[in-house]
Amino acid sequence: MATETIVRPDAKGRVGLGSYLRRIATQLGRMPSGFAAELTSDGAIMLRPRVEVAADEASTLVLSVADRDRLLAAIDGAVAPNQALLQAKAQHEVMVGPA
Amino acid sequence: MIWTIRRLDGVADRASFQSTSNELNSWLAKQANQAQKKRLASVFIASPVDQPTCIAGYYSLAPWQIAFEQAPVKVTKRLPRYPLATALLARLAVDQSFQGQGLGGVLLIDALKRIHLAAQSVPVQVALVHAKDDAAAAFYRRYGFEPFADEPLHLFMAMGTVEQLFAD
Repeated sequence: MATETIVRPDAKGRVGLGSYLRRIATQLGRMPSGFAAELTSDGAIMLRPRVEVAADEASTLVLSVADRDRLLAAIDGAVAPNQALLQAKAQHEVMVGPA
Repeated sequence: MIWTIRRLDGVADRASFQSTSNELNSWLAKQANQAQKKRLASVFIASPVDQPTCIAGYYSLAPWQIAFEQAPVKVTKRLPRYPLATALLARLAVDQSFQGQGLGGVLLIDALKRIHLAAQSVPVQVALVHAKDDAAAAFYRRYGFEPFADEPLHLFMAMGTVEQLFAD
């Protein structure tokens, strides 16, 4: 249901939308900070729900004792590249250029 | 066919990319650009030289940390008390129409090369990959990555192995 509300500026000419935003957020079950305000070309102010992007690129892997020991042993005694890796490197050179 | 592998840019058609994984397709289309702008990930795409808008495959690199549940004295003598910084190959995918050409392996080599170059400036002890499922983990194991026993979808390769790979 579309509704229109008239808001009046304060003594400094400012228009606050806080109370309206809180009411809308409550109705939609969101936090007020979950909206972004956008001024459209015809002067209307649109409040759009923010889209959350998971920051799963910045995290930590916590290793068990056994996996820690396995990792440290591998670091200390790094093995030579296997045949599949060497072949992929050769293929990279053919398809893309020297890696 | 000759390929270029470059950092994701505005020229590439992200929406048309179709690997067998909806998750990886969606991430490229909707989140890759934002992740790169926020410096959460670097995204690299492979295109045929004569089709720069086409994304035949991509991979993403991200900073990660490896922490230990317990660090015995013997270990702490040679490792910092804070977590180890590492480079994570977070995602790698090939468009279905370009599969069977070895492009996955080529992208993996390209990613390892970039990690290798970065490790010359910022020390990294292992290259880490995050496989999305068992089939992806098997792909990485074929190239010598070792899975963690308790985190089998996280696999690693010691940088010593990577250095040997790119040694002249």
